[in-house]
Amino acid sequence: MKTISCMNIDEEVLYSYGGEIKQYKKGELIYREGDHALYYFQIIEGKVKLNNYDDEGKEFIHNIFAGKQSFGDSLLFLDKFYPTNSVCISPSQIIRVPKDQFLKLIKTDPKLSLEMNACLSQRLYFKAIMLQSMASLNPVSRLTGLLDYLKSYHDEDCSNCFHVELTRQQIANLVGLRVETVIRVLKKMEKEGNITIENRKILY
Amino acid sequence: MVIDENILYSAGAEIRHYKPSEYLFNEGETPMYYYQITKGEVKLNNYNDEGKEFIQNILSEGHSCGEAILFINKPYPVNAQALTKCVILRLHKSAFFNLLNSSAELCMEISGFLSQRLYYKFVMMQNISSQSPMVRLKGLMDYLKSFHEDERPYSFMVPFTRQQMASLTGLRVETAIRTIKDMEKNKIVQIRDRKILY
Repeated sequence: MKTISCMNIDEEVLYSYGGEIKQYKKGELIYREGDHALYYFQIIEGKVKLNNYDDEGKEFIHNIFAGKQSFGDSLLFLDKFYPTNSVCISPSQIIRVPKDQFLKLIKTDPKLSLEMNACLSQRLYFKAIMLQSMASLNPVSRLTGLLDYLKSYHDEDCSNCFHVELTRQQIANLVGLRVETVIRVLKKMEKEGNITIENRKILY
Repeated sequence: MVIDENILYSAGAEIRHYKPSEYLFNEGETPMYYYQITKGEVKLNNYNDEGKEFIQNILSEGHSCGEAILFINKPYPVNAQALTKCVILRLHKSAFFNLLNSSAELCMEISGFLSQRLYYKFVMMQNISSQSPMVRLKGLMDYLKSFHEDERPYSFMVPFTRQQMASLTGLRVETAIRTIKDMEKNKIVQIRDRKILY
């Protein structure tokens, strides 16, 4: 998923503030919903999803992060528990820095502190857009909302050239729909010329 | 309070008065100012293609408004509209950033504030992913009540109208009214003089 790469703090800086590298297997849990935030996490390599499950066990994915992105950082500034799980969706290499060390780093570096605010704002922007499209019961608006957002970070402004690097199941869990619905709606959008599908790849 | 008002004044903030339903800014505009509410209530909303309103948030005294968008290079994704008579402090974007550059502490406070907003969005997102109106409304009330010290049942009065609750959760007002009645029957809420106690 293409979003702005933030936070992407220099690895050497993170090491000097007590950062350590952890290896995770695909499917491994990094933290659990309800845990206290103890670390700042930044992905070197791999992919991580933030999710929850509803009472019926249906998964909802809040976001997917990849290399050079941090996740869960907003909880370092709050006295709250993690509202989501974080799970590796591919083998991942992640640097983690203890919370107090990370806050110290942010405090001593005004440039980083501003970047942190920009990053949180970026996430907030994504959530505001997604929340609006999710409020709709119409599956087409939900999907279009997600695709528009993802494409807004694509450099080229073109029609049906942006490759959506998500599985249909991931899309379904990101917009709160069943996978069958997503498949049906994507086909409909293809017929109407809003997307192109090549070898199962979605181009928007 | 996000930023001390005296600090805002000395950085060059001006006081603005708004009438109910007057706009502070509109969706699509380029952000120019930091806004902080001294008095009154403001809603952040948008409308979908069918003209249905979705309220992203309702903000009151001491809250800032639309500050996140100042940090990213995007137009406003929402409108900000006064719900009541409002007194608002407005500081030009460049002065706002000068202020942040001069104070690491202030910068951290803004991080805390943005994180709080983000937390709300996480909670609401999960609620709204549900098709069940009951889950959506209960999720909203749980969130609101989490800032309330008294945890006993029915100790929290929901400070919103049914229409606002519907627009905050993406429901039609008729559905919200019917669901709230069901919740009363199931003893999830009490209703006194039309006020909802949770």
